[in-house]
Amino acid sequence: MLDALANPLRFMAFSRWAAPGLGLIAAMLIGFGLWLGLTAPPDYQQGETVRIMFVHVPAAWASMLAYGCLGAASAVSLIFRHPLADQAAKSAAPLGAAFTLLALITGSLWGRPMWGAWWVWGDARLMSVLVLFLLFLGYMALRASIDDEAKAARAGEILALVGLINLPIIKFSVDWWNTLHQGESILRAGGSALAPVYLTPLLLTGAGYSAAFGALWLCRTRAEVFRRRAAALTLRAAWG
Amino acid sequence: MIDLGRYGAFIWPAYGVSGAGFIWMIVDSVMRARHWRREVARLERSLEAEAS
Repeated sequence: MLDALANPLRFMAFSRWAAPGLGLIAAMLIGFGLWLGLTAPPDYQQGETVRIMFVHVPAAWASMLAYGCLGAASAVSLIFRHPLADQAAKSAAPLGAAFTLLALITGSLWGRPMWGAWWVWGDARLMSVLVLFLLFLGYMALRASIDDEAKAARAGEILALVGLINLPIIKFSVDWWNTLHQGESILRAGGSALAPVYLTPLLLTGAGYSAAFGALWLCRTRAEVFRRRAAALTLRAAWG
Repeated sequence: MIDLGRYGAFIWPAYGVSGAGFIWMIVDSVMRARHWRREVARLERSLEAEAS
């Protein structure tokens, strides 16, 4: 599948229908998940604020998925020197930054009524997610600062691969350190700590956010393919 | 309108920011793809016109 899509022509034909298709699936999953989440009874501990979970946690998952895709595409580009992989890596970064920012803002809006603080400096989970946001910004800034596109790609790939170490740190930060952020409540030994009335909408919105990332990633990668094609045509026109 | 009590001041902004974030991502991604697709089409037409 991935091998077939490595061909830009096949990728463009595939993404032309896959991007809107995934977008439609995302809209349905998010819409249904949020409806279930907003009509669920208030939590016995967190009250109504539990509803922030349905936009906060999926955004955090999507941000990590985006970085995973950025890292994987960077590795493929670095090893196989495949231009489409580099275009995919470059396209994942702004989306990842946006999802991380959403996770940080919605987390802050959840933290204020629950912890009494918008932000806690030194909290391992919060800081590792902030590092993720800075990695996305750093990746984009690094690429933008180098004129030579091939050199910019190599530099970005190395930064993206080094930054992959942050993903397990985010995941296990609540186990490795004492943090104010709540511990792992879904993928943990003994099963999920969430009641089905919250788990179902959370999984629906989580799948929806992931599908939305997929749709937008395909769309931005298409834009990047078109941009490089336009650059090549401009060069051809200049040479006559 | 769902009554979220005094916590509505935190919950609705969280949903609003998420919606705004999605709108930005969708509009920016679609406009970018559309812009470069049109640019490619324009350059191809111009090269074809030069060749003929």
